[in-house]
Amino acid sequence: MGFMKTTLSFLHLADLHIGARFAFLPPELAQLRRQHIKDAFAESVRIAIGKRSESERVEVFLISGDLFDSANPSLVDIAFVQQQLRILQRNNVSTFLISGNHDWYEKGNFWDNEDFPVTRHFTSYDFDIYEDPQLDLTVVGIAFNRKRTSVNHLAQFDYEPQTSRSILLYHGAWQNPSITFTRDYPFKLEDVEKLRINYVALGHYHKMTKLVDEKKTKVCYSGSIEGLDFAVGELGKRFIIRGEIASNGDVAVVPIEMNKMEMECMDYDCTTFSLNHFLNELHKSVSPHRLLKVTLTGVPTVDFLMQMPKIKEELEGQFAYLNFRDETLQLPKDLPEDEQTYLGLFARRIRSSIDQATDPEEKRLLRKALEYGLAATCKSE
Amino acid sequence: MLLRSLRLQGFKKFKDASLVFAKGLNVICGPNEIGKTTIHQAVLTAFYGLGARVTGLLREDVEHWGESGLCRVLLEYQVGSQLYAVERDIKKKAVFLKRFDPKDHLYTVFNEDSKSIQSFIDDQLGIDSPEVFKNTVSVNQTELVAASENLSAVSQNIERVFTGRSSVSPEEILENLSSMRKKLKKNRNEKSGKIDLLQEEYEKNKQQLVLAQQQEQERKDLEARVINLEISINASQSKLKQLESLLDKSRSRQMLEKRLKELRKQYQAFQYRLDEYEKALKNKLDAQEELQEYKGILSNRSSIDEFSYFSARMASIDSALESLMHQRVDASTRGASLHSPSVMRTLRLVLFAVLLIDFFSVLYSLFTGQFQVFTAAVGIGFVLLAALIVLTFRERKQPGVSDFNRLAIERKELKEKLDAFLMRWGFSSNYDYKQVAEMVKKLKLVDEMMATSELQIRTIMGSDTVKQIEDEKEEAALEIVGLKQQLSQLEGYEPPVEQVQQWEHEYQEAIEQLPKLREEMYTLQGRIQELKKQYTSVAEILSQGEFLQHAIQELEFEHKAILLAVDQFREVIDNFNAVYLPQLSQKASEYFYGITNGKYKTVDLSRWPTVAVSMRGYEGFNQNKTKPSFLSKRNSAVDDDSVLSKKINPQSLSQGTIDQLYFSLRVSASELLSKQTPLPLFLDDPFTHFDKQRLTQALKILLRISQQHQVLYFTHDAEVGRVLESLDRGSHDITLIALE
Repeated sequence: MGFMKTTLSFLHLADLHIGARFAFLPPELAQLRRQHIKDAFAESVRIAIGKRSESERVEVFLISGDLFDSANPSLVDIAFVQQQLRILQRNNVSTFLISGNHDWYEKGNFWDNEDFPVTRHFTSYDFDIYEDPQLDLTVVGIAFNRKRTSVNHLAQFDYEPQTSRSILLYHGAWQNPSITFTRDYPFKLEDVEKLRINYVALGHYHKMTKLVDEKKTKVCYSGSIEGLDFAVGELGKRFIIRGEIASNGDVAVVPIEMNKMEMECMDYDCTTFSLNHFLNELHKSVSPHRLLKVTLTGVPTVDFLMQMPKIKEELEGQFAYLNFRDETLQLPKDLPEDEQTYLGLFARRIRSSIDQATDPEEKRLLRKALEYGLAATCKSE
Repeated sequence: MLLRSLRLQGFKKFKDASLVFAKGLNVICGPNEIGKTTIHQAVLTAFYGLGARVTGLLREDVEHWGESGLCRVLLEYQVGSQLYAVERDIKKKAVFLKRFDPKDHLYTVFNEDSKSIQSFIDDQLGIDSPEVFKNTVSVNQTELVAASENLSAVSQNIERVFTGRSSVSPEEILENLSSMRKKLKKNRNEKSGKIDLLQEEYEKNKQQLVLAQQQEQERKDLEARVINLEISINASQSKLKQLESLLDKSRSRQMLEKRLKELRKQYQAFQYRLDEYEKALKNKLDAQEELQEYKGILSNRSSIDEFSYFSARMASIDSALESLMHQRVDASTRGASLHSPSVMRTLRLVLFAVLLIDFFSVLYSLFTGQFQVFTAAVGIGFVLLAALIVLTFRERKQPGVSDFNRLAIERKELKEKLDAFLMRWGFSSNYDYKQVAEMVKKLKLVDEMMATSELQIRTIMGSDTVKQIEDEKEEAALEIVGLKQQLSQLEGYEPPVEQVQQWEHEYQEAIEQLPKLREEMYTLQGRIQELKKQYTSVAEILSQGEFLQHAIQELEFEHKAILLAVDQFREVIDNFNAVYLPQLSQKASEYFYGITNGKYKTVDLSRWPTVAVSMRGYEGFNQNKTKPSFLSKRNSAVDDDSVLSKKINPQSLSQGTIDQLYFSLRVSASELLSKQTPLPLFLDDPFTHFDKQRLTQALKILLRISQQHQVLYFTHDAEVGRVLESLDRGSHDITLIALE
């Protein structure tokens, strides 16, 4: 038990994007998703104050930027965050906050004008140090400045904490080999590896990632709390990170699953896979808590096109949201153009119209008309 | 095309079975479940391979579970005089095609990939699609049942054959398209489609946007106004303060000056009183001191008046005596004649005598009438009279010795009385009564002065004491000093009166204005709060609107595509009617003519989908007389007289004739679909429900058809065999194959 007392626990959140538009979703669903983000934040607060389980209670609550989706959030959202932060304050949870590239800090903007009851809101554009002798903890943070975004702050950061435990809040882009340049406070892996900080709470990338996993140093992106769109980083499960720092500086982290709904993408190549295979995959992923975007590529068969409307209709309502993105632009290979049937005649007509059409939009329309024509030759129930 | 033989190895029920087909009519007879359908499927598989689309079969359905491990179909068929064999190895997923050379009795194997082989077979069959092939070659029970019910079903069935795939009629296709369209967008009197609903939502969104924008604008305006109000309130307040201090200064200066004036007046008044008091007091004291001298007199104050009277009488007597004395002295000095009484008396007598003479002169003149004498005499008379009167009075005034004596006596009495007074008052005999009388006079004056002084003191002082007045004076003096000091601080501050009035005016205005401004600000703030409560973000509504717009756009595209599909399909139908129907009509007429032994000559499709037959020969498809449109109304009035004369009312056709008509059309359609390749017909027990007579008729038709087409007639009915035997075979080939 003596050991437990000297262990400091924390919760690390980032990239909540409260007030995100979700403009690609129907208004009602977009509203629901916004609420989900707020719910997730409130749930994180509940976890922090030990409401969910006493064992999960933490002493420190970290927000590594992009708490809000914009630097001009709505009053309702601000009020909500203030209320949640007050709950933390009442429960003696030390809260540390930095702004991100979405909700950057600026003199005179909402960060400045509104009162956010946190232990320390790092508003300096340089590393700012906060020491808590009682917790034997140093917290370092830096606010995101819109104007000097391509500076690598971490490269020059060389600081030896005076306490036995230390945390750094940083909102910036890790320059992995695939990304070589960004204007969002970029840094390299070696910049974080050399830090003499126990836990670096990163924000900016929406996929939970452990960059450094040493005994006494951990560097993590917690990722977004709810998937915000169908980008790769937003898909699947979402997390916040709960960690503990022992008095000797040993760090342990555990991700806690947070999201209410999952964003998923499914790319389907009609040339390679059969319709049955596709249907099986779709049926497997059916869930009312899933937002699915299906992208069809390749060359579909006539059969596939015939079945599509029915499939779409069937699956609609089985997902929280289902978006079919048809990127199959070619005509089916097995188009019955030689047939002496109505369908053959139809296919021939469309084909010749497409060949004659010069406007790509017209071609697309004809292609769609072909799909409907094919679908219409299926016997209705 | 002729099918020659079929071998099934490990295919469904068949472990290893071979069937040999002949030219003409092949009747494959066997009980239900013996595998008639399998043979049909096997032929399809041989031509097109295995697949759910073709036969509705999957690999696992087909593979035989026997030990052989084989699963393949081998079909020999003849095109023209050339013999081919196609082999499908389902296990190996392979296809082989061989051509038999009768001269060498050798098979040539096509050394091609499966795709090329398939396209070669497709060409031979004239049909690419297994579905179309299946629809073309298979005639099933339901088809015939429907066709025999009424004539319009005949055209529908033929249309279905021409749709190729899942036997949908063009009408149904259009209906399907229309229902797809309805789901998206309504026509008049229809239920709202997706687009309509979205459009409604979008309209609402637009209204919301306008409202939200208005509210936001209002809020912004209000906030700006509140800021302005705050500024003007602050300005008002500071101005008020400024004015207050300005006015305070000028007011206090005025007040100080006023007060100072007052105080000075007061001070002077006090001083004056004190001065006056002092004067009066001095007078009083002087009088008092003087009075001390007249102590003796004052002790008998009551006799002072009596003394004064006596002394005054004494003085008058003295003076009278003195004048008497003077008269006597004068007379003695100036001559006694004139003034002696005897002279006077003589003078009076003379005068009297003259007067008498004058009187007589008057009377005389009067009687004589001497006017001048009369006047002179009268005048002299008056003069004499006046002189006489003067003389008489002068004589009387002259004091006599008796007066002198009387006065002397009275004086003596008075002297005694006055001496008594003097004695009483303690005056030595040295004092004359005259001196004392003087003293009394003086005393009276002093006394009077004393009284006056006292009255003055009382008037000046009232009820105040000197001390009080002095104190008050002192106080006033002190205050004056203080005020003077205060005034010295305001030295040099002397705004003009108009300025002060202006200030006062402004001050009053500001005082009145301030609560109004505050009230207005509170009202505005209240409205802002209200607006904040019902706040909906404009950006959010905008993004919702964008979404809706986008969604509508996408669906509109789909809708457009559907409409386009409908258009295209209608044109397809028109095209079909224009191109295929004449061909079909011609072909069907030929068949019909043959089957009916020349009874009917023409199958008229010019009013498609109405089918008509006529005894007349085929005269071609008259484009002028027809509207080969699918949309032309069914059973529209027939008004072609020349045709009408020999036309048969379709309703009057016998069941047998309708069957004949149907088969003519059906076979023609098959030939059209297979690009003139006479494909074999697969009949899957189509005549089950026919009575013997109709069955006989049908078989006769089949026999006719089998002259051009190989017919594979699958049946479970043993009756068919017997009927066939009873028929006149003529030159027809009939092969009976019994399945076991």
